[in-house]
Amino acid sequence: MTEALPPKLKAMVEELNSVDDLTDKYEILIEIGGRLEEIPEEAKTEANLVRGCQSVVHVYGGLQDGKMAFRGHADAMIVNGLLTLLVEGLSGLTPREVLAVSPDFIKETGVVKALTPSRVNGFYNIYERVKALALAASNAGGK
Amino acid sequence: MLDVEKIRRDFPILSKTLEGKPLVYLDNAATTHKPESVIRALDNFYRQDNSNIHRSTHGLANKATEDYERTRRHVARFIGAACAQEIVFTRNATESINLVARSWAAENLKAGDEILVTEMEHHANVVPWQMLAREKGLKLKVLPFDDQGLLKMDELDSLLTEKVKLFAFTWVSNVLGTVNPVEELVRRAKARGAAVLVDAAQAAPHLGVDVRKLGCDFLAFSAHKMLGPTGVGVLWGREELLDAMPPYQGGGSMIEDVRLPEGTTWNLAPWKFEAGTPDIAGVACFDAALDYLEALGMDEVHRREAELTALALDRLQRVEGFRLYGTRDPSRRGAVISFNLEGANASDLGQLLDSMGVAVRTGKLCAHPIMRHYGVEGMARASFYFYNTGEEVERFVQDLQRCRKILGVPAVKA
Ligand SMILES: Cc1ncc(COP(=O)(O)O)c(C=O)c1O
Repeated sequence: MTEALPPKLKAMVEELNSVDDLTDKYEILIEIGGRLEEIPEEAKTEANLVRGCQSVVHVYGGLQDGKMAFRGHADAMIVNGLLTLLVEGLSGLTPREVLAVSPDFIKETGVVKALTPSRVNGFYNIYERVKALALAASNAGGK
Repeated sequence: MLDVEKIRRDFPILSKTLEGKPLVYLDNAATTHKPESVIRALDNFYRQDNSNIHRSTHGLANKATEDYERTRRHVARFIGAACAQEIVFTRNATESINLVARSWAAENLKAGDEILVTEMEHHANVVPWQMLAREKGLKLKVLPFDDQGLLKMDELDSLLTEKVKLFAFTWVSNVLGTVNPVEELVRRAKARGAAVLVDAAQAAPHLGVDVRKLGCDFLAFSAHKMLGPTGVGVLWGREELLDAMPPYQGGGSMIEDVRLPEGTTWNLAPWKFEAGTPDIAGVACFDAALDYLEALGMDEVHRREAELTALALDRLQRVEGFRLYGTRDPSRRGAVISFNLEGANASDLGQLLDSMGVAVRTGKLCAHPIMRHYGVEGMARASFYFYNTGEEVERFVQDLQRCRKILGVPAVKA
């Protein structure tokens, strides 16, 4: 399954899959999230806010030279790691490539049990936002 | 003395593992687990007694009706009601409160009247009143609490003007753990002529309830927080009030006679408030939950919880950055501990603890106004029941220490 993932995402997913214990996986997620570049305070707007998460999550992005560039921030560390998987892992792809990535990889990692809107981790809501951004970019003329 | 190991064997789920680690279940304020006797009663009901109630004349229906009504009598005894007719079955405490809002309050309150609640209410005891207030032009007033999580009793009398027709408050806070001085609150509200609704969702599972001693008019709680099945709530109301109240929902069972196109008349209380087929199995088997609690004795339940809470507070106090929301005074608090670790996000704590096998609740705990009071986005909450053990408390605190390390929470100087 990880075969089909874009390289940056694949590397992070493999890192998560390299351990079995959920606490260890969370530690890795926290580490991954720690590498994420801070976003400017001005970007923490209502429009960039991802609703339905227990923590405060902002995500935004658009086309840069034909490729998607995502950025984001979550005020909880584990959610920030989940967000990094998507924000880092899908940046640099065309909108169409982003849309082709199935979110199912997250279930295999074991850090998210079900792909349903869940307030606790917010992964699904973040994924939906990232997809919507790619879709908007693709409708606006990106490929 | 209660043999906790024996008790734990009565609760099959307690021997489960979570993430490969023995489950430490500290989310009892959300819902409690069910003993074997309740699980077996449910199984048995559907195997042996399943039928609709109050309708058919066959033997099965008689048995199901009798089981359902037996629980009503049992609940009445359990809370010291004058008679079984004072017990209305609903889906949960939330529906019990909505019933009072939609029936009693909608009938008796008029534009300009006021309803008093407290700042520490669960949303279930806020939103129904706000909805009614919007519709009818009522005003909601709020009795605040101090930073210790105690109600500001000295502000009560000035808030209880003669316009206040109802005082609706929680006996025990699901966030702060505060056990409010319920008898005094009732007495002072009644002295000003207000009706009183007590939200006992966090009290009935832990303290002995005697509605006659309380002196209130309505009392609401949920079976699922006290060993019973989900889908069953209780509204106790004084008989003369229930008798005078209009129905809440219309349908089968709640009528005496239906005429077309009009002229329909209502059944007697409490049945006029129970439209349609209720959770028959759930109600019937709530009986076994009450049996279980009575066999232990509510005093013993309370004593054990107080012990666990004292131990937890003592241990938690040594965790650096631990911030408790609520009083430390053991005589004024129940078995709910809401907290934050300075520098850590509550949702991270909840997820990490979960990964270690410890189930707590995190977030806004259905009490946004309390979060606002303390200026926090969320809290973590550990809540105990009599089947928890001292070892579980120790493990919870150890794991919390581990969370601190993982989250890299910087040491704070006192
Ligand atoms: C104080 C309080 N009131 C009301 C409720 C609502 O209970 P239910 O969701 O069972 O209706 C709860 C449940 O958490 C509670 O803690």
